[in-house]
Amino acid sequence: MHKQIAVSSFLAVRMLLRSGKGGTALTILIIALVFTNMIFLSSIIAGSINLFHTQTRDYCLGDIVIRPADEDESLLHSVDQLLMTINRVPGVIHSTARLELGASLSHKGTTVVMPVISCDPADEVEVTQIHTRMKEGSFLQSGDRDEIVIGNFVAGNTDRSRDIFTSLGGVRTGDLVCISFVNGVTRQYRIKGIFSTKSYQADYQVFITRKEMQDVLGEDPDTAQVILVRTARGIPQDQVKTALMQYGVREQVTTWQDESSKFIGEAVESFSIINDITLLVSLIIAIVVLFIVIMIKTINNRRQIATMKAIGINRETIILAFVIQVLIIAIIGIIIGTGIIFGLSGYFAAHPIEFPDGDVYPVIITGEIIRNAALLLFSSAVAGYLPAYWIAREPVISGMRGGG
Amino acid sequence: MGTVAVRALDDVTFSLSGGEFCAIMGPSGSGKSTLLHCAGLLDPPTAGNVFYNGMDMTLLPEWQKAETRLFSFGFVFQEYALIPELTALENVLLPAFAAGGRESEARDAAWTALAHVGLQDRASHLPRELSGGEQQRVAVARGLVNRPRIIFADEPHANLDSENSRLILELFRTICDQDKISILMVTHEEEDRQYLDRVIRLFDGRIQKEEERGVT
Repeated sequence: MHKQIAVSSFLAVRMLLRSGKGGTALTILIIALVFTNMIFLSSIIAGSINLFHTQTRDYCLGDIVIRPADEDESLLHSVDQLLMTINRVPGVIHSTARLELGASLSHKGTTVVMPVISCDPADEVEVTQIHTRMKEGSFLQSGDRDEIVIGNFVAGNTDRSRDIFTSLGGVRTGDLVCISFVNGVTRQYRIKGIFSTKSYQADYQVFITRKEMQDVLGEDPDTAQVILVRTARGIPQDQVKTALMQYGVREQVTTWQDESSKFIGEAVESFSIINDITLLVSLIIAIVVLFIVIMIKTINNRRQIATMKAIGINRETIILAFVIQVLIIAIIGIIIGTGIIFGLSGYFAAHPIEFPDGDVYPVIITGEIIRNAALLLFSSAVAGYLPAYWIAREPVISGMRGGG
Repeated sequence: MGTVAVRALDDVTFSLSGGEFCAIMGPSGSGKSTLLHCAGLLDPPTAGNVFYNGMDMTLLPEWQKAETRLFSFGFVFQEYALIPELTALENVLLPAFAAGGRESEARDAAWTALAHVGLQDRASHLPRELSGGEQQRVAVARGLVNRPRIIFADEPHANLDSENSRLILELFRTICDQDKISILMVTHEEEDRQYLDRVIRLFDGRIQKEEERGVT
C-alpha cells in the first residue's frame, strides 16, 4: 500500500503540474469559493445567534432567572431577603428584582398599553447593560420619582409607518407621558431617557424606580415577578444555579440558555436547516465540478491510462493517482478558501453587517472549518474516484486505441 | 447495429526461446497484433492458452497478469505510448519505481536504461520535446528498465525514418545477444529479416509458415 501511494503520488504531482495549469487553477478557485460559501453562511448564522444570546443576557435576562416555584403563583415574596441570599452565593455578582404593573401610556392622544417595570436602578445596572445603550438622556437613579426611561420602540417615530410596534409617536427626552396603572392610579412622568439596544424584546419596555412603584401601589409590597442574576465570568451558570439551590433559594431557577431556548429554539432549528441545505448544495457543486474535471481528464488520458496498465502499473495505483490529484486540488482550495474566510472575517470585524436587530459579526468556529474541510475532502475523493475507476476498468487494447 | 464475431487467430501455436529475436509478419488483418497482444497478456484469448515459464497465464487474475507484465515483460508500441506529463527519465523510471525499491534506486536503473539507448542527455525532456526516434528509444529504455525476459514490440519503427528504424533494430539485436532477452516483434518490413532469428508468417489468423534464419 505504501508503495502504491508513493507511485500514485509521483504520477499525480507530475500530471497536475504539467497538465493545463489554467484549468487546474480555475478548479482550485471554484473549490476555494465553495468552501468559503460552506463556512461563511454558517459563520453569519452563528454570529446572528451569538448576537441574540448577547442581547438576551445583557438586555433581557441576565445570566440566571428566578421565578416563583409554584406555577399558580405569579409573585416572589420577601424579595429583599431573597436578594440578600442570592448576592451571597459564590459566583453571583449581583441580582435585581423586577415588578411589573399593567398600564396604559398616553402622549398627545396616542396610547400604548403595556406593563411598566419597576426596579432598583442601583441593582439593575449591575445586572443588565440597558443603561449603557442610552440613545438620549440617562438611565434612572434610585431616588428618581416622576421619571421614566423607555425603549426606542416605545418612543417610536413621528412617521408612524416606520414603527414596528404601537408607539408614543416619536416622543423625546423631557416629554411628559401620562400613565394610568391598572390599580386606578394615574400619574404624569417626564421621560428621563430613551434606550436603544436593537433587541426587539428589550426596546419595548418602560422602567420606573422601585420607590416610584411603591408610591403607585401605596405600599412596599416586597414582591417581584422575576429576579435577574448576573454571574461571574468563567463560572458555568449551571454551577451557580446548583449553588443557589444549595443556599436555600427554593424558587424556580433557570439559566438564560434554558429561557432563550424556549423562544429561539425554533429559529436556531430553521437556521440549521438553511445552513444544512447550503452545505449540501455546496458539496454537490464541488462533487459535480470535480467529477467533470476528472472525467474530462481521464477521458483525455485514456490512452496513457491504458499504456500504464499495459506496462504493468496496477489499476488501483492509477485510480489513486487521480484521487490524489483531486485531493491536492481540494486541499489547496480549502487553504485558499480558509484564507478568504479569515480575510472576510477581518473585514466584517471592522465593518459588521448591520441587521435590524443589531450588528452581526461572523463567528468562525474551528470545529466547523475542520468538519466542512473533511466533508469536502471526502466528497472530492469520491468525485475523483468514480470517473477514474470507470476509465481504468476499460480493457487495455480498447483504451490504447482510444475507442469504446 | 450488432457486433460481428471475427476469428482473428485460429489454431496458432508457437514458442519463443531465450534471447531469440522473432518477428510476426503478414498482411493487414492477418492477426499479427492480436497474436502479440494475447502473448503479451494485454488481451485475453477467447480460447487457448498462453504459457510463460510453464505456467498457464490465461488462468491468472488480472493483477497477476499486470505483475507479470511489470516484472517479466517489456513493451514497445508503434505510437511510442509515453506518458506526456513525464520526462524521458520519469517515463523510464515509472515501471522500475512501481516494481519496488526506492525512487532513487528506480532513478539509477532508469539512468542505466537511458544510457543503454544513448539518451542520457535527453533525460529531462518531455516526450513532446523529443523526435520520434528519440521517443521510441525512450520507450525501449522503459521496456528494458525492469530487466524483462521478453519484449513485445508492435511495429516499433513504423513511424520512424530509415535511420531511426535501423537504430531501433540494431538496439533490439544487441539486447537479444547481450542481455539474452527475447523479442517478439510485429513488422511489415521484409528488410528487418536481416536482424531476426525467426519469422512467423500469418495469413487469415493462421500460421502460414515459420522461417528460421541466422543473423546476417
